[in-house]
Amino acid sequence: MTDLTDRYLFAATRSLPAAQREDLSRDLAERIADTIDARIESGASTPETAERDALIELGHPASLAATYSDRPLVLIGPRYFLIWKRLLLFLESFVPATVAGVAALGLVISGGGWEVIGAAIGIGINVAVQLAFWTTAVFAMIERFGTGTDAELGWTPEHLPQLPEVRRPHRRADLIASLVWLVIAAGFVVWQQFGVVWVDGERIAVPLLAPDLWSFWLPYLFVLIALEAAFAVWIYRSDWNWVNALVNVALNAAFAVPAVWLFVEGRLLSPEFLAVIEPHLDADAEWVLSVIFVAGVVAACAWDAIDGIVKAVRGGGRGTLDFPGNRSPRRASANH
Amino acid sequence: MNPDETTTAHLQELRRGTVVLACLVRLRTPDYGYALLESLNGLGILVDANTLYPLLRRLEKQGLLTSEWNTDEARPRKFYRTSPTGDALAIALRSDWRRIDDALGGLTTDQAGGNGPADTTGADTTGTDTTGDAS
Repeated sequence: MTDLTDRYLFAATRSLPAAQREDLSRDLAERIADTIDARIESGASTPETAERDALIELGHPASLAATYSDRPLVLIGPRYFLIWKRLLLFLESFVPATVAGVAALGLVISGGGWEVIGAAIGIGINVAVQLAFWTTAVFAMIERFGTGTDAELGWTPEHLPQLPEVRRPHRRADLIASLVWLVIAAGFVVWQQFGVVWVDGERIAVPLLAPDLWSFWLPYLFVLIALEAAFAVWIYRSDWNWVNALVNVALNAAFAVPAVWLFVEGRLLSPEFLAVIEPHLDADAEWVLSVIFVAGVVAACAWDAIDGIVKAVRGGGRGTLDFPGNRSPRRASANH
Repeated sequence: MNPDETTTAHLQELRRGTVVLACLVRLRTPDYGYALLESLNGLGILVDANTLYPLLRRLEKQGLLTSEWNTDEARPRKFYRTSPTGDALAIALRSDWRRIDDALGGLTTDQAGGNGPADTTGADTTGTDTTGDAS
């Protein structure tokens, strides 16, 4: 046994507990000596090069030791890989963003300015990295020391994911979101009549919208809300197409045009409300707020109108997932 | 992966379990690692040193082999011998091996004769019995 073999044995066994080190070292020494002898005997190596050749044949000491020790060289093996991936994706999808958001809020409350954005991004990245590291570390521990069976992992066939809806994967969510939003809007229109303004911590009965509008425009608005709700149900039951997209444009215009017109005419907000807020605003602020209001209404309605047109162009919101079960009518007819 | 590599991989897969059986049978006569390697390869049971040496240690850990260091000669060598548990396992493995061989033989005849899956059912029943004996 020479220096080279000793070094190999050290390299192969140094990561093992002392008790196993001795044992494996002896086994390997026997194997190396036998391999050297065999190489010389068969003429594969000269006596001078046999030891080196034998060690090359054995390969990297760490991976050789791994084959002896039953310890996997992978961090996470196939048994835990999928559950690790699923958990990691799930956590990373919202934890870093949530923490960053909460941190930013805290910084703003404690008097931070724009620099808060940079700090929040830094915190978010930090959390994402920590989350990935610790999740992986825990799974690596389970991989090495866990004795869990598949049943203990809590997997049953019921955990299989639902197949995506063949047609329009988000249509139920879209419908619910639309209806909830319309109910909130209608509720707000009624609620504002009884006052939304606080003065010195006390709510006073000053309506936000001009009471005169009840003669026509506010009932008109309720009719519009009802039409929007009916339209949302209609879209849920049928699908986006050119006709529906045009109806959607018309509905949005039916809201945006009167709203902007009434606002510009100065008839939208109640005089009492304006009287309350006027002392707090100078001319510039009023101008900026007006522009923001008009731009906001126009942008929101244009966005919704364009969204409908885009969905119509795409041939409806049919599922785009390409898998054997996806036989949407469109795809089938394209094949024929 | 080219066809040759695929074939090699499948052959390795097929041989993996047979090496255990071969070791258990062969080590009814005690021997050391390298001598075992040579005799197995000489018998046509092709096995790689990187597979065999770790396998011997694993079988020892599982109590299927016992080992003893022989220091009589110039070079100390570890001699392995099949334990009674190992012997029992060898018997179980051999009967399962025969069952699989029979089943494959029956399957080949079926294919040639174009018969139904009747024989396969029979083989499955035998398989259940064998597994019961082994455990």
